[in-house]
Amino acid sequence: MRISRLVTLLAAAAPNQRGATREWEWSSMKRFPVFCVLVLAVLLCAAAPAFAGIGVGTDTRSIEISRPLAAGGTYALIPFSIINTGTEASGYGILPSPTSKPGRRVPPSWLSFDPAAFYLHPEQSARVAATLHIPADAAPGTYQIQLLGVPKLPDLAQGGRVNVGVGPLLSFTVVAPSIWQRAYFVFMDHMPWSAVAVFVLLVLVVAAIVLLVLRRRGRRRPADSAVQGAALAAASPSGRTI
Amino acid sequence: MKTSRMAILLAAAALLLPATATSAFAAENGTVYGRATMTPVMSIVISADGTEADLPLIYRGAAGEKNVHPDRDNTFMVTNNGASPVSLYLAFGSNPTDASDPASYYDLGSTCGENRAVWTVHAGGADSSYDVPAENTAPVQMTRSFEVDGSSWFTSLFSFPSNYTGGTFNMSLLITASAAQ
Repeated sequence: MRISRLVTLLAAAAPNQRGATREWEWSSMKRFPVFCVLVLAVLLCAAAPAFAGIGVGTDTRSIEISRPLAAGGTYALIPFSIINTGTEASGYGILPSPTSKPGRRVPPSWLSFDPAAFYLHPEQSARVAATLHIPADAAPGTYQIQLLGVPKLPDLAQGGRVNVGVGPLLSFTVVAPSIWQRAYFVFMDHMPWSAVAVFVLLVLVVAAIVLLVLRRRGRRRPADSAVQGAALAAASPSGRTI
Repeated sequence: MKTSRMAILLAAAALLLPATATSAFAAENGTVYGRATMTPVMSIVISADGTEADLPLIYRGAAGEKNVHPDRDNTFMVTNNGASPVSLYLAFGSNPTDASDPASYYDLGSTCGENRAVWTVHAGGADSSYDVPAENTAPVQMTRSFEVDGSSWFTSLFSFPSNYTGGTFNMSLLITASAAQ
């Protein structure tokens, strides 16, 4: 931006061949030192060391879950984007960070991200899907946490590092689960064995019902034939059975 | 006859239950929670010493020594290169950890003492100082509204723990940005 301004000024300061009058020459002579200063400034800009900057950005200000979430559940959250706004390619990760806003703190262990780590070239972005796992013993209340996209710095590098982080603010409310939700979460936590157990239980119940019915029908048959025989004897005019 | 029909109905209902439950679980798994509020891109970029792999901030001091400047140029610049104003915060990155023994570390905090160091960031233009907050604590707000294309220079100082016995340690701080308030 600055360079383009300088170029415009240079163009304005450059001698114009069409109006070659003395006045013009005098004014262009006066402009000459300005021209020299501008040329020098351009050269200095070119020679100055270019700072490599690490940067991060997002277009998602916040993620708000208005529906209360039952403790013990697992919830897929709406994805958000992380952009490399720096001048260097870098690896990135998501760092759940406490906020200064009121509300309970979210332990980072409640959150998982897909992808958890990714590599971005300058101006490249990635969509990150977060999943929230709320333990069954989580205290009811409003929770807030900042989901920061953070460039990955070398772990074993010596000394102090300055890093940046930008990301959406996540807020949600946790409520105690109902008995049905609790049963559902227990069922889901123990999948697939819970499904197998329920299936086996159902098969046993069905088998028991069928057995019970067959046994009842087996008992009823002799009694039914005796009743039929007595009825036939009563209907015969001679009073004898055939 | 009626009993056998009842049994068949019961058995069918019992077998129908897992099928219904399975479809209910599938619907639950497909739900995406949350309403995202979009914004013009919020972005900050940071440059100068301490931000590049080969240019860390090195502080050399003794036990209990306070406000030690780093070896080289001790300033770093933060620029709002996004499309919306942001609030700047100073947040915890990592505690000073021994490079050779990760189990050995000091805590960062706002008071210097045994096993506790203070890492201070000084905002040049605003002439105010902020301590890097301790682990699991809220970030410190440095700038309420950091305008688009705005830049700020920061310097940093380090105060050593009273029981510092030497050695090379690694640590990091975070400059974070969120929507301006």
